[in-house]
Amino acid sequence: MQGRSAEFEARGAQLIAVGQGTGAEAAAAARRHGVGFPCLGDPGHASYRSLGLGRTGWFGLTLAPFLEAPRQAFRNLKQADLRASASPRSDVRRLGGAMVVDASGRIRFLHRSATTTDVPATDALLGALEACRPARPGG
Amino acid sequence: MAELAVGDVAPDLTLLDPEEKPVTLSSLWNRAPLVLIFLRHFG
Repeated sequence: MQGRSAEFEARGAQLIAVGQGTGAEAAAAARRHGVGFPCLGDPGHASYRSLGLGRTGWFGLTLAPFLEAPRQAFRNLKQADLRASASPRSDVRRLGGAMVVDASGRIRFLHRSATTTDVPATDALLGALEACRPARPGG
Repeated sequence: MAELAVGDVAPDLTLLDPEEKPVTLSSLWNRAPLVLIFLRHFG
């Protein structure tokens, strides 16, 4: 995903991150983690619940990431602001995900992360965007 | 309530921009296809 935002722009898509906390808190966290596109905040986590994004257990939060993807886990830990994580608006056990919505409001792609290191494949997101394009006459 | 799936209409949620102004998802997808990445990290 990092460094490939131009491919999303080329497909006419808007790439938006959603983070926990207020708009400012989510934007700050996104900057800290190197997210290079706009970010919106969800202080009550309603969007996460609405999409059915799950929560991991304590093992999945602490030890499992270092076994599954150690490089990513160390990078995440290095970039983390542990004081911000302790905020009442933060749910450190909440898992992420991704959704592609076409211009009529239909969901074209939905990924619910199963673990803290499970992220959707960028190519899968780009493929879903291709399916959002209107069919060409005669094509 | 049934879990959302591909093909369903997306929920028109309201989120906050960095200046704490509300933004509805429909106001975004009405402009162009929307890719939402849900971050796990707060801190």
